[in-house]
Amino acid sequence: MNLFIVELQKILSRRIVWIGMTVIVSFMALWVWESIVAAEDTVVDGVRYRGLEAIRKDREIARTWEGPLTAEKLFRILDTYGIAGDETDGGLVRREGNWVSRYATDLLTDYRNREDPGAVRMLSGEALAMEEERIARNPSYFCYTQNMDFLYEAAYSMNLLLLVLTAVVLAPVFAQEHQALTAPVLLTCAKGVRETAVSKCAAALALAEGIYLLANGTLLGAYLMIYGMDGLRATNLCGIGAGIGFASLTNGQLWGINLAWGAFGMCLMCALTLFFSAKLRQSFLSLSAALACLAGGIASFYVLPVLFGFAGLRILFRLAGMCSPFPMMLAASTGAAAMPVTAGIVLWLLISCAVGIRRYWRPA
Amino acid sequence: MLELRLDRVTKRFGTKIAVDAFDHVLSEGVYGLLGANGAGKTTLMRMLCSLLLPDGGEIRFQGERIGEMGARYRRILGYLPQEFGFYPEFTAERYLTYLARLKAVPPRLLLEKLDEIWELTGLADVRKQKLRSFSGGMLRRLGIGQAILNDPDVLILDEPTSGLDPKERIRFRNIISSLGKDRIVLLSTHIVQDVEFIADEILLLKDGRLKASGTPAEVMQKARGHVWECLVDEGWAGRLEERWPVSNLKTAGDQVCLRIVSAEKPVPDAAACEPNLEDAYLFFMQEAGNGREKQGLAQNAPAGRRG
Repeated sequence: MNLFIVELQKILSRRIVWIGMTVIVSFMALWVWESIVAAEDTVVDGVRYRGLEAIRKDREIARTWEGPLTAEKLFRILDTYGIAGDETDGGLVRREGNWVSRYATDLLTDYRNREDPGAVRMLSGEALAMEEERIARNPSYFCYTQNMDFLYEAAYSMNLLLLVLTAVVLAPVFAQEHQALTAPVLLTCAKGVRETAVSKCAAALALAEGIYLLANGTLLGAYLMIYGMDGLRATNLCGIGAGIGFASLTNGQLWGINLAWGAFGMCLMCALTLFFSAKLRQSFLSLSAALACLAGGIASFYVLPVLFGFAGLRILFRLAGMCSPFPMMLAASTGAAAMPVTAGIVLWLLISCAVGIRRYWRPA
Repeated sequence: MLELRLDRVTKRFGTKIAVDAFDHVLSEGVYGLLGANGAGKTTLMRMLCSLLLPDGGEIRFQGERIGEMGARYRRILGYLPQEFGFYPEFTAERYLTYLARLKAVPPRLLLEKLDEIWELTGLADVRKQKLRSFSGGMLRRLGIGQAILNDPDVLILDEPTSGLDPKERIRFRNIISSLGKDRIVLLSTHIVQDVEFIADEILLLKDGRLKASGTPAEVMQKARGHVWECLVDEGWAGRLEERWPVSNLKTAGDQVCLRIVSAEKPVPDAAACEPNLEDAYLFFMQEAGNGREKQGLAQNAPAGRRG
C-alpha cells in the first residue's frame, strides 16, 4: 500500500475539495462566458457581429496586420478603417469599428481621456510625439490579444479563491488526526511518524499544485480555444498592459513565468497551512491562521505602498505579494534586483514550515 | 526475557503531578493497572508509548531508553488508546492493511497476519464493511487487532473494555488472556473484574503513585483483616457509608447488610471476612482520616446481627 496514495485519498475524501473546485470552475466559466464571450462584438464592412463570430472576424483582420508595432502601422490602420468611436443606437451606446481599429484608436486618439463623449480627436503635438516615442522605445510584436488583460484579472480572482480553497482543504491534514483521535495509534507505529508526515506533505503539495495547474490550465485553455493562440506571440505591451513591466517578454512567456511563480506561491500557502495544522492541531484554528496570513499578505500589498512608498520596502513587498495569486505583478513593480533575496527569504520560510511540521509528532 | 523498567517516572501538568515517581519493572505477562479516574493511568501509558515525555525518571526497554530507541521501540510496541479514533470511510480490511504498512509488517506476511486477526477478533464477516457501520464492541476488537498487527513485545491497552456490554467484556478478557504469553501486556481499567482473573500482577495507582503491587492473591492478602460484614438499621447504614468505604450493600427487610473496608471493626457485631479484589482496591484507595469519628460510632452503634 502506497502511503502517498492513501494520504491523497484521505484529503480527496473530503467533499469540500469537490464542492470547492466545482464552484470555482463553474463560477469562472459562467463569468467568462457572460462577461466576455457574450459581450463580444465587432463591426466589419458596416455589419455588426457578435460573440464567437465577432471574435473570428477580428482574428482574421488582426492577422493581416500582425508584425512589429510601429506608429506608421497604427496610422495606416486608422486610414483603412477609420477612428472607432462610439455610436448610439436606440439609447444604447456601442463601440464602432473592429478590434484592430479600436486598438489604434485607443493609442492615437483621446478616446479614453476625452472630455466630450461625442467627439474623438487624433492626438497632436506633444501628446502624439510622446506616444510615437513610447512605441519606438519599446519594440513590440503586434497581434490579436483581445481580452488578455481580462483573462489576467480572471486568473487573479480565481487563484485567490484557489489559495483560500487550499487552506480549507489542507488545514485538517495534520490537525484532523489529533481531533479524530487517530494520531495516538499512528504515532506509535514504526513508520507512523516521519514517513506519514512526508507522505502527507507530498500529497498535500501534489493536490494543491494539481488543482492550481488544472484550474489555470482550464482557464487558459478555454481562452485559447475561444480567442486563439495569436495573443501569446504578442509582446505584453500589446496584451496585458504596459503597467506590468517586462515589456520585452511575449504574453506567452509572461504567462509561463506567472504560472510558475503562482505555483510557487501555492507551494508557500500549502507549507503555511500544513505548518499551522501540525502546530495548532485544530482544523478551524489552522484554517484561520492560514487565511490570516493570506489576508495580511494581500492587504499589505495595498497598504505598504501607501505607508512607505514602493521604494522603501521592496523585499517586504515581495513577501506580501508571494501570497497573492500573481506575484509577478509585484515583482515587476519592485524591480528585479531584489529577487534573489526575496527567493532566499521565501525558501527560508518554506524550510521553517517544513521543520515546524515536526510539531505533529513531537511528544508533549 | 523481556524487561520494561520504569525508574521514578514522573509527569507534571502545570502544578498537578499526574504520575509521581512511578517505579516498577515489567516482564512477560499480563499486568492490570487499576486506579480511579484521574489516577494517572492514561498518562503513564502514554509515556510508555512515547506520546508523552516524562518530566523525571526514565523508561528503559531491555536496558535502552525508549526515547532514544525511537522507531526501533515502536516496532515492538502495540497500543490501543482509551479513545480509539478511526477513519469512517475505510473498510476494516483497508484500515488494517494501512496500519500494517505503517507498522512495517512485511508484505509477504500480511495476509497471514490479517487472517489471524480476523479469527481472533471475530471480524472476518465484516472486514469489507466501512468502519462507520461498526458498533462500539466491533471497533474495540478492531482496535486490539491493529495493536497486535506487528506481533509486539509490549502491548499497552488503555481501558479496552470501556463502554462494552458484559458479553463483549468477557470476550475481550479472553482475547487479552491469550495474548499474555511471551509479551508484556499492560492493561489499565477501573473495573476490577476486568483483571481479576487474567492479570498475573496488579498495580494499584492512586494520585499518580503506585500504592500496591502483586499478584491478585497477594493484593487481596494485604487487605485481610480489614474487611467486615455487618447488619444494621437503615439509618446507621447511611452513617457508616459516610465514614468507611462500602464494597457491597444489600437490603434485607428493615435492615441493611454492609460489607465495609476498615482497619478496625466498624460496629461491635461486625464479622471479619475474606477480602476479594474489590475490597483490596477500596482498601488501598480509601482516603486517610476516614476513621476520625469511627471510634465514637463503633461505641454508640446499636447491637445488630451479623449478615
